[in-house]
Amino acid sequence: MRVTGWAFGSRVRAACLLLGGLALLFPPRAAAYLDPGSGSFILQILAAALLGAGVAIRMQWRKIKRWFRPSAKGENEPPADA
Amino acid sequence: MPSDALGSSFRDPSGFLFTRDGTLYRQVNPVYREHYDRLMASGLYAELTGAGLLVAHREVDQPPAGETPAYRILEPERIPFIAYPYEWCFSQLKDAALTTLRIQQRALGRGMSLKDASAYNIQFQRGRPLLIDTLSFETLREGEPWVAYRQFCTHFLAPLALMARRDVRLGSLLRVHIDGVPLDLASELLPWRTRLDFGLALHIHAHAATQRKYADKPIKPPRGRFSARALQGLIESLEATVRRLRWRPGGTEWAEYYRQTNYSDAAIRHKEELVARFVEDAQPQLVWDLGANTGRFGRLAADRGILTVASDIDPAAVEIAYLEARKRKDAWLLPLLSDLTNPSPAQGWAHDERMSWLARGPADMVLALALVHHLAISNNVPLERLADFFAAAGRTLVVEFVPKSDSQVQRLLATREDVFPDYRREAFEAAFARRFAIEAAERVRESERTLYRMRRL
Repeated sequence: MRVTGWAFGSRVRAACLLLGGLALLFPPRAAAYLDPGSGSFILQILAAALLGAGVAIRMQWRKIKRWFRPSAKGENEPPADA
Repeated sequence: MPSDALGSSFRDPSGFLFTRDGTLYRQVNPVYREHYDRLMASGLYAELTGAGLLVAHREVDQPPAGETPAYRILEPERIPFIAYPYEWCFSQLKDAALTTLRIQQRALGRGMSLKDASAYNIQFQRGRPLLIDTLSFETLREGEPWVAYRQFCTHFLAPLALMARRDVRLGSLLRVHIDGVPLDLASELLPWRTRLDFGLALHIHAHAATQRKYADKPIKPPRGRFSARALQGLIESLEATVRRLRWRPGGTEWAEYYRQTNYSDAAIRHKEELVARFVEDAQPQLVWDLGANTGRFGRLAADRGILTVASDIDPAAVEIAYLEARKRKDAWLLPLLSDLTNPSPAQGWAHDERMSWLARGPADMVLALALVHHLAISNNVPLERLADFFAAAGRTLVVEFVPKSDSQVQRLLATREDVFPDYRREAFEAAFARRFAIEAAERVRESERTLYRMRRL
């Protein structure tokens, strides 16, 4: 799935109806003092698969790199400040 | 909320800041008990304070503020000068954004998450960005999206993208929009080609579109729909998007200033000697270097372990000053963006959330080097009013007078009529003597300039 900025209105609508329906089955969550924004929540749900896939791909890529360069150090450390 | 609570500390029911006998405290309300205990017991607090990412505090035995019950009273490490995101240069905002994401990464590793991502929660302490809100964490709500995603995008990503991809001066939008730059505005202002950057397409443009579509619609996503891996992916994506945004100073008005100056090397060296001597004589703890350019003279104070706020109107000069300070791991120089002809006002709710620039003073010492002629001639400020302003800003003043015969002043007068008959050394001294005792006046070698040290009356 590729989510882009200009062509996903109908997908959003369908997902929203589905999620809205499912929401009725669950009790409301504990209140957060910050309004997360409905649109901001929906967008994250819609992009979830893509974002998760990104993590999986990066993990595999690191494994492949380690296989070729087993002595390489610091692969799992977060990069330093720009 | 008790009357001694800080004006900026009212949104989050988890607790608030208050002052008592000149000491700053943070009250933790009973409603936040579970999360505070988890922060301390999970090792997250120790990890973050150890890494210099979160402000340290100690639990103290103080009664609660007013009538409200408290779970804990904390005394946080004091931040000597509070600065706001609209006063940061590009790289300061970028470093603050990356620090926020790094904190979120570490929180996720210990079963917690940031419940807000306000740029106002970050301050530069000893040269590095630091989260100052201990109550920003909550126990991770598994299966749910990140509650602070919108705030991260409006406070950090949108202004950074606008500064990097449209115009660096758009950082000033943060001054108008106190809860961050609205995403629809950012989306409209950004060049079309930013839609080809996956991160900006998703986190700004698509984000703005979904916000528009679902504004005010009470949609509650069900639990369990947003996996831990997706949350991890979101933070990594935001980090990669922020890292890709770059801005290089150049072409703004004074970035090349020191190369254009009319000083001889001997004059610069003598001016540095005089400033250093005046600083050592006064032994200040807080210096404001106003019109600091890239911070060359302010650094003379910072190098002596004195916190020096080096402000300038030019985003490029502030950027250069910050990058240089970061490279040198300078703990005491804080470069900030400030237009002295229109300094940061008191603003936010009831004018009490964000302090005006002057309300954060007075400084022990103000440096006003090669500044008076710009304010007096380019901005037409009478000398008496300049003296009033500097007297409000600091207790000791190191000020340079540049006469009309100097080529820099001639440059300012080149395109306009000279309506400044009083712009003379004698009139300058008379105007400032109303407010200050002039303790020293030294002619800068090989120049027509005079450097004064004055003490406020």
